[in-house]
Amino acid sequence: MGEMDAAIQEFLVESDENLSAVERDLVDFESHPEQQETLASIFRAVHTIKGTCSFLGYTKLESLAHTGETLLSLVRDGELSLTNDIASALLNTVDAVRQMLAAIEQTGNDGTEEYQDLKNVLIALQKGEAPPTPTDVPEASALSTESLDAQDAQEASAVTAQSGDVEVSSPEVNVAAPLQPEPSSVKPQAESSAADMDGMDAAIQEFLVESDENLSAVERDLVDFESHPEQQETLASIFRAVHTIKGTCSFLGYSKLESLAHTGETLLSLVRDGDLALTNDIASALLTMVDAVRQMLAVIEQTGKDGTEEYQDLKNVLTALQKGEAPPTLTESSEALTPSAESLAAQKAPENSDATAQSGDVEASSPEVSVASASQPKPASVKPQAEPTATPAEHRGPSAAESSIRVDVGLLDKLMNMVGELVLTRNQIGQGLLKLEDPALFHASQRLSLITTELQEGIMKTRMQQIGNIWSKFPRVVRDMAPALGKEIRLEMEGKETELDKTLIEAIKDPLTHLVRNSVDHGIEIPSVREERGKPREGRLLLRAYHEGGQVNIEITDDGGGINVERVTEIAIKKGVVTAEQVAKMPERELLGLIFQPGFSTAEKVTNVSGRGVGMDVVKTNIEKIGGTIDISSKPGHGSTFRLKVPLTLAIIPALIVTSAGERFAIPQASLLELVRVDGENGTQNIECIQGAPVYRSRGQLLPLVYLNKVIALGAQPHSDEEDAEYSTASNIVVLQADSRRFGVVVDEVNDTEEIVVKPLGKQLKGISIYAGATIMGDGKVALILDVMGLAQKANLRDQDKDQGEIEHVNAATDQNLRTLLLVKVGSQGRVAIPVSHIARLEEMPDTVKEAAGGQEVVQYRGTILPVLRLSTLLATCGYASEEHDGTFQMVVVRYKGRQVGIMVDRIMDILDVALGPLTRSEQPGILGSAVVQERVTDLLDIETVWQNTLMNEAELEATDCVGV
Amino acid sequence: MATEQYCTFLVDKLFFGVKVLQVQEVIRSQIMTVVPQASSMVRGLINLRGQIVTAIDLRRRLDLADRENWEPMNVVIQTDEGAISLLVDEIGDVLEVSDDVLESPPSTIQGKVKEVITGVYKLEGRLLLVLDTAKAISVSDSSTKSKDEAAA
Repeated sequence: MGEMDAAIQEFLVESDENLSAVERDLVDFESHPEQQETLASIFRAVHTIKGTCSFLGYTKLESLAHTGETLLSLVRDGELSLTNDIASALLNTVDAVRQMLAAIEQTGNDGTEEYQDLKNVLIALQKGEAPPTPTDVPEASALSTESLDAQDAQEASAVTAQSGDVEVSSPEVNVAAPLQPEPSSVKPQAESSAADMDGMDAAIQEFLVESDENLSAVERDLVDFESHPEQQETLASIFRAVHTIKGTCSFLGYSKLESLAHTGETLLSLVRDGDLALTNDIASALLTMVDAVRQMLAVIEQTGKDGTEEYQDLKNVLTALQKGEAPPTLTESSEALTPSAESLAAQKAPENSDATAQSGDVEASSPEVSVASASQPKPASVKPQAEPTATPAEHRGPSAAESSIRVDVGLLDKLMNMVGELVLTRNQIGQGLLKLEDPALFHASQRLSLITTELQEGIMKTRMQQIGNIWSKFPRVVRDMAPALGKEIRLEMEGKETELDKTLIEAIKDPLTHLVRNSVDHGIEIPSVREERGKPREGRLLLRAYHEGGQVNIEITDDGGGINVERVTEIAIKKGVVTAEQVAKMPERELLGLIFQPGFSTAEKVTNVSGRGVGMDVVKTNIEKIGGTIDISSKPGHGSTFRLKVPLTLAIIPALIVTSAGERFAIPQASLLELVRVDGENGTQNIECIQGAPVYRSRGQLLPLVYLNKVIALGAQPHSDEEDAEYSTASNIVVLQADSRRFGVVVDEVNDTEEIVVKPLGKQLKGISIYAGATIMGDGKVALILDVMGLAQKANLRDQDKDQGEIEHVNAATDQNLRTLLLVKVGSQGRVAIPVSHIARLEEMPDTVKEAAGGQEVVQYRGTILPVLRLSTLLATCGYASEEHDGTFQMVVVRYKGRQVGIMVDRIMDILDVALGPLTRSEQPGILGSAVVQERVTDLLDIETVWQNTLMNEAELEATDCVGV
Repeated sequence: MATEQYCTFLVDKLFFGVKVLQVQEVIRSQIMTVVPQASSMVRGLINLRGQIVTAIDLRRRLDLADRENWEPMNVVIQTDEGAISLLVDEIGDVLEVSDDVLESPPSTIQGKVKEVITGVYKLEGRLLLVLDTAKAISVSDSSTKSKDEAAA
């Protein structure tokens, strides 16, 4: 068993790929039955699995695959159409095969389960009957692990014996299949392949590339096996390759090629079974066969047909060798031996679905042969091979096989590392050159920089995979789940070709699957409910992927019932995830976020589909592990959207470099929100302490602060008395987002942003949660990369009950007494205060940018049209008059209820934290009231009025827009 | 008698040896980046031609006092987790030593040194202590704690 391990391992990996392809294609073919090449690909995949099982001695698996293949062949030949029953049965077969493969992986044999029920269903379907008990099928495929363990390993000899049994047990299968004589079945197909070449082109192209690889492998392995005949797995690999070629030829209708490959395979099977030793003659004949197959492939590539050459001579040689006879001197192989009737029969009836039956025939007839062959080692007869007909075809441009290669992922990883180092070296050279001021060197360095960037992009591209690769299994998931839940769901995918790094693809696979299942299970309603709500019966699930800002966005949108926020909160409280008081203070977005909390599940009953072990919290953790974020938006009655943002790659990330206590640290930009600089005087005012915990007032909200130099305890010396003094001297705050929590990190200096190459830390440093890794800076020194989550944890920021409560409490207190106000001047006398919490930005613009639309002043602002209101006009009734100004104007951009509007003011004066006393109520529209601020009476702007004004104007604006269009 | 080649070095007065095949290279004192919050044993990170290597201070590992103006040599060794640098006082010769002078460490050896040696070669005039690199680079809890205690 030991030396077969490699072959089995390869078989498992390959079969898994094949099964995924079959699943995808089956679902695809169901909806596009005109795409013949999809069926071709299904058929090939199943056939390959079957062939390999046969070789490795997994008879039960083979028998099952064979039954499925026979059914497929009927569909292919147009005898049956792919009904829902058939598709389901085939998909169940895929599942059963998967289970068997799992059994093989665990125990080394294919289990005791025969899947007779499933096979009966398949057989019934072949006959065009309705499946006997389709409902039993899922149960039949549920294989218990106990039965696996209990099972004894099967003897190889027993396997071959059973192989015969299996064939006998399903004779009706073969009868049902149209055993058409070869020429008639091939002809029409050959014609059709010439006629609608387009349809089959993809399949043929793939076949050519694959066969070329296979042939090279066969060549290599044959030579290898000759010198190391004890390596059974080499032979296994040869056999599989030849078998795959044969099977595919048969499907594509290349009968001549198939016949040749078949003869070779038969010879190989004798060698495999130990009936023949691999003599020099046999090896030579097989290599000649490889050459012949190559030629035929070249002909196929050029003409689409496998040519007229029958290679009868070569086949005769192969047949003679099968009988253990000395080959008719190969050089004169044109003088053909009379082939035995038996081998002729084998060649002339190559039913693709029946390959094993034939090899059974050969095996049965081989005992007499083997006696003769045993005494026939002829190692000395090394005759130069006169390739009978093999004059290599002229090369005309790159062939299909040459245009793509397979590369080991390990090699790509290595290249990626090297490019990372190149980037660093480039940075170092760039910095060094600045001191030299040599123009020639400078240009060379610029060029180096450019090439490095291109190289980096190129290497990254090789690791990129389309997200479609993982999406491809979702149609099956939806197809299986929807009927089980009594739902009708249409799955749509946009942006399948969006690419991201292979490691990331792997990482988001499971979370995505969970989200899709979740949407199908909980999101979309059953048809009757949908109709009641006035929606189409069929639910729509949309997967969307696109690049944005150096990140990949993936959205999973359903048009289902949306998330019931009340129920979410109710359950969250019941399960003790949050307290009722906390809930009361949470904005809606955070309430939705509760479903990501550990220990939360809204599923009222555990259905077949939900509760597979991955909760939403795991989804979130896994996405965050790779530096991504997940976000929900939901509209009750209209559906919900899960939005994932993941980085393009993990190896090279943009980061902010900061200095603290003389050391540099990199902070990943993905978690960076903003940078705040606090000056000495102001700093004292803005940074305050709540029981020793420093906080900063950022636009009316309290931002918990973390002092980086304290967290990392650089130059650690505890001195509690000076702490308060220290806080006030802080200058730079880096505002970060960890989880849903914002916090500020106080650093000494903010240096620059840079693309950094992430390198892992050694084992000795793994336990320290505040580092995500290390990188090498432009000057060659190492800098540590901070882990934002770890930093937040270290500073106890995530201790929800305590901190959150306290901060909220303080916040509420602040709201009552203290307001941060922007003071603006209107006219010569007027002072108006605008609450900072509503202000998005302050701008100064030249007058010339002002345009008019629909009688309203507007400016083009960040890609949108921003309506501008003159504060003086707005408050005209209060007796304000605008002053003249000098070519520029100052504008306060206010955001309110999701809209932005610019308020033109005469001068922006100051930002103040003001303890507002009782307001003197004002009857003027647009003014909330008046208060004394800085010993002067100031009007407080009523944002609501501004907003209503904007709304009015916007309506006009939209009307104008329409006219314009 | 089988012989073995050892790369030797001095830490304080202790004469250590590491099998030559385990040693990747020996380099001079490097610029190091301190890793705050790490065990005191971890002196810092060095950039070894684009590879980030953790430097383990053997003096601290062995509970020896720090030295003023210490310019340690880096003995970069290969481990399962990649390269690790051992910071030592001084580099000695590569010695070829014979198995017949090898003894297991005497039970009377005290303290941390006992943890990290697997044997002693009785050479002429001096003893060569065979360093157990796996143990030498393992950051145990006790060493972290001792640092905390020292800090307190």
